[in-house]
Amino acid sequence: MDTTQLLKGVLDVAVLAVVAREDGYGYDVVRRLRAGGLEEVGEASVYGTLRRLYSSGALTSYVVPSDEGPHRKYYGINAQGRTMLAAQRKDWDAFSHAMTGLLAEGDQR
Amino acid sequence: MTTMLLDRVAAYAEAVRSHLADLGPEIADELTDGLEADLAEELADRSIDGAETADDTVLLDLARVFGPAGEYALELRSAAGHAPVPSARRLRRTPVRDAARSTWRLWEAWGRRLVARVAALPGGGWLVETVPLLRPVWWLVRGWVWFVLLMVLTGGTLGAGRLAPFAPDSFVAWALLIAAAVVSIEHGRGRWAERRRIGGLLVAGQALAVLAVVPLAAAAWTSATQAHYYPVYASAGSDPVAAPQDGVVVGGMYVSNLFVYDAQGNPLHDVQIVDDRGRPVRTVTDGSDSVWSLPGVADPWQFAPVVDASGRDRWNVYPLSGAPAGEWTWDAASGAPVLVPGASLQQPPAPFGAAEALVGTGVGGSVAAAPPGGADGTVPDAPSATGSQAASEAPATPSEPTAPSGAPAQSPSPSGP
Repeated sequence: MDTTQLLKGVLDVAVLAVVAREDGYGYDVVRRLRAGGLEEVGEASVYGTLRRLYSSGALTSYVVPSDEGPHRKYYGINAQGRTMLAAQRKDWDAFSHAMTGLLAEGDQR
Repeated sequence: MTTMLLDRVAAYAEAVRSHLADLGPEIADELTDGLEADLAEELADRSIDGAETADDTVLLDLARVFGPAGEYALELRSAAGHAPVPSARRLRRTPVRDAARSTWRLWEAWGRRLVARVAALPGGGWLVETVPLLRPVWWLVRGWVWFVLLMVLTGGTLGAGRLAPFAPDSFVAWALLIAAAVVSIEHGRGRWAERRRIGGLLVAGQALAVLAVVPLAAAAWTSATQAHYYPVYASAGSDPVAAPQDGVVVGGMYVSNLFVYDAQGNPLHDVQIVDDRGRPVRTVTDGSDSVWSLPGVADPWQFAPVVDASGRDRWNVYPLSGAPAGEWTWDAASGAPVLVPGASLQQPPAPFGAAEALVGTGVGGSVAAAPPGGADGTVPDAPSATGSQAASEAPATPSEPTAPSGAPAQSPSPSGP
């Protein structure tokens, strides 16, 4: 199965969940998603998703300068993001429950 | 991480950015803000893994690590919710477009190098961080430039007041200024970045604003500093009455002289006229060298003041006497106008020898015209009388044109009609 297609639909909620645990910058979020099992996630997709969630008002953002190299852009979740995360989490629970049920039935036949 | 690697990372980020150029600089910057740090860290991670970077030459070509910059940019923009693939029309190349694009890239690269160099200077970091915060100021200025250009293009139909075209002074102009500012601010915030047609127009507007802002600001400054000297009645044009100056105006035109008649209709001479505050009423306001056309007289006339007992010129003693302009010359020493030898001051022709007589003055306050016989042009015992005599002989009239005792030292010889 092409998991990249599956990932597309859930990347938003995955990124929200990761950032909700702790503020993070782009690559930090990628690393945490990969550590969480989403090995295939593309960095640019994560960065773009962070930018979009920020533009839509679900995330806050701040820049942390670095002595050694380029500055890092951190993202954190805000109230709107938490509301969005809660709603999507509920949707995901319902969806995954349905899928699990469907696939289980298919197995029995 | 070595400086060389950081340079590579910066170059790769730059390449990604160039693939986002069609979104406009603000969105492209927003999408790639912090990208260098992310790329650098990922690169460091991978070199720890040792899998992909066993060979240093791989690091020199980051496209082999992260994929082609174009694909990276495509993934970034589509994840960020921007039009994922530029349409075919967008990609259509023309020599002009290519030239514009490469020029733009050249400038952009030059600008980034400049920024990097400035950032390295003492205090440069502060400058580089602060200047972008002033972007909204530029948005407002740009809106103003567009407003002025529109005002100029519409040729003053939207308001042609004293402030035009640099400041609004009509409702429509205010609306236009606000609209221009809003469009500029929204454009600055990247509102129409993906609307190609509007975007192109706005980019052209930006270029125009950059070119026009300095000359327009200079012109506005000049206009603002000179505005103080504009007369308030400038719009009245050449109508002399509109300008409040000294002088006596009758029927819309300045008069050169006043002729005074007593209640019997006899002409009076050397009558001093003052206004309700006791200020002298003068017809000739700018010295004695102004030249007046008299009705029915070929030569223009120039007038002279009466010199009073204390030697002061008095210009409110009427009728003024004078001489045709040809009989005047200038005193070599003082530059004052003087009569040529042999010429003398005369009273200019009066409109009529005698005016209509009044009867009943002072009786019940009513004034009525005399019977026709009194106004048939005859001059009853008049012109030989001097001004003071004439005044004292006159019965009380509403205006009481009596000359004070210390009156005119110079009595021009009255000339009869």
